[in-house]
Amino acid sequence: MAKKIFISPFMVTFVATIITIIIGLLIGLILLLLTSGNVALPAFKMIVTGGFGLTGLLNGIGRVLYYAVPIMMTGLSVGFALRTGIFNIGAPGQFLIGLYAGLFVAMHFSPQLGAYTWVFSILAGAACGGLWGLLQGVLQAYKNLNAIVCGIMLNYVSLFLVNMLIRSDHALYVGGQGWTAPVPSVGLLPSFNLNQIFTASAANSGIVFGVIVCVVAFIILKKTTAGFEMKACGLNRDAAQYAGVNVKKAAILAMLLAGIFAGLGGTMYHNGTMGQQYTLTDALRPEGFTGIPVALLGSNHPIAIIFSGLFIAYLEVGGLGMQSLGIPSEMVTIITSVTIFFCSFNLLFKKMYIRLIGKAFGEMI
Amino acid sequence: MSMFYFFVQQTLMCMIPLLIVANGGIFSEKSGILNFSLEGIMLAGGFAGTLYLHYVSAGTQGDYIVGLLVAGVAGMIIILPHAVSSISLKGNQIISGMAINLLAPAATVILGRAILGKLQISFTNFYLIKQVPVLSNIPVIGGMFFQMAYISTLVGVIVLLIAVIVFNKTKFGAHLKACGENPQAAASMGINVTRTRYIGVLISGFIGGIGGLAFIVPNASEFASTVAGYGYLAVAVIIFGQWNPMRILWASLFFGFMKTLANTYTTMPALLDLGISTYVFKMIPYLATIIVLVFVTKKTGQPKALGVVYEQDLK
Repeated sequence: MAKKIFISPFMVTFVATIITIIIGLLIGLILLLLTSGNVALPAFKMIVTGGFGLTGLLNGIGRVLYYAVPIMMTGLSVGFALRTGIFNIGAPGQFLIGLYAGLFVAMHFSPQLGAYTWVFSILAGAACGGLWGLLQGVLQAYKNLNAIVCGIMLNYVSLFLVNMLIRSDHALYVGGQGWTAPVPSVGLLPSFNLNQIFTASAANSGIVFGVIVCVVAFIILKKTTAGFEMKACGLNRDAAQYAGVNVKKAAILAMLLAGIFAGLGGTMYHNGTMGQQYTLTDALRPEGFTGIPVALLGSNHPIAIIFSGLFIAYLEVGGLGMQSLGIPSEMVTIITSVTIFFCSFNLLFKKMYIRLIGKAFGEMI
Repeated sequence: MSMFYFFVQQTLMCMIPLLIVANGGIFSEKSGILNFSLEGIMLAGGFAGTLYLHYVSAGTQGDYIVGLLVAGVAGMIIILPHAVSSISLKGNQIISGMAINLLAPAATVILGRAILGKLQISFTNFYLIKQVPVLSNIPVIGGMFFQMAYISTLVGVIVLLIAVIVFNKTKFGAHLKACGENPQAAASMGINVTRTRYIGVLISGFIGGIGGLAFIVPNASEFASTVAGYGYLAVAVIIFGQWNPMRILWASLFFGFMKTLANTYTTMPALLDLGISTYVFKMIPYLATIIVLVFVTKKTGQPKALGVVYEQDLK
């Protein structure tokens, strides 16, 4: 019985993921020792403790909750599409489109919508992000465009499209400054008092909505026919087609949903807290790309992505704290990327673990 | 006419790095190993190469060539983990490739800070050749290719020639392709699949690293841990060019042309007078690629075993 629990797919994946995280942290520690001399150990402690020592535990948790929202959503976007066998590198573009749509509604319609502005901002972000994902899905399914090329190109198209739309819109653009005007307070997500519970942090209801969206995605994959068909395509596209699944429809639906998730991330990030101003640059925002490690670390599982999103946000907060010791926050990226690298042969750790458990329980069976 | 020459010269600066890196990438992909990590390779090459140029001050063309070789070695070093993971450990090739892309910019920041104590690595650009003796006097061609040129243009031509020759004329190229199309069959013919794939991936790291510096020197005044997404574009160029060296030349020319149009339209009164937003011009290269791909042939030319884990004995 005990053995069954230990070698359940959940436990095996969980243990393998923990092993990869530990390896990632150890390599980070070695690098710190090599490059930073006497501040290496305090810096490492900062990462492991999330830098909570600097601002207090509650504030630290609040900051993690705040940072986790956008990357949890883009992580869900990437992970959900990967379950269908599509590598959605277009998440940064969908994120940006969602960010713009939410901003547009908040700036233009707040007088009419009043206290409900934020609801419509979120809906607009989800809808526009979804449409952008849908466009990519249709190009991929009906025009045979390679998902990677299509995603990369659409990312840049969305970047310049959003910059152009903001630039030509006097309600959004602060002339000469190069960034957008702040979102009016009715456009902001309610705080649910999270910012006070987690003293003076930017935590807001975005994290609650984010978790709900992840659970909904889990239910879609687990309990619906459409979800089953999408998963079937991800496991073996030809077999799914042979079994009567409309693979094109499944792929398009997956991209629509992936776009909705990433778009929600964009809106919930930008309308999350007071004073956010989007700066017009020629580079894509990093949240979309961070979705890739979040998804991979969470084995593309919507519920696991909640935790991997929180974990990477935790490391990021620790990384920010590390800057107070004069160490660039890029050290955190190194730890994440090493962890992700070891995820690539996760299967090896899984096999090792199963063999180990088999030996430990060998005599009892 | 001088406008025309300027345009050609700018297009070359933009397309040559893509041509080099994409042609490097196919050495890995033709052997069956996905090379999504071209961005990371370019960053490693750009970093190591710029660091070399930072320390040598003589500034001769010889220095630049040595810098390109240093960049190539750095590309090989950073691709090695991806090779081990995908070939020996049979790992997921997208994940380890992506990990390299995530790792590289952060690693260059940390290393740059440890070595120089700052985030940007500066170099003095001595490497622009204003006039190539004799050749620059050839009418038209001289102005297009032998004035205001970089030696990396020549490197791009050499890489293209090597790729064409290796894949079409040599036994090694045939072995690489066999490993990418059907590794089991290749193994049964006595080809060492593991060794061939390692060589293919390492070559792509070397050429990709060269491409990293070939991007930085003409297009930037310092290395600031970015190659502006060119590695991802090179991945797109490979697919656009259907894994064929000559088609990759046309794909990178197309992209370089469009990108130059976007960068230089302000110098062309005819385009400037249209009063179109600068963002539309910036969007054109990417939009045009999508449109072309929608209408272009459905044939992909993708190696059949690309990204598939190779098990010695297929049960």
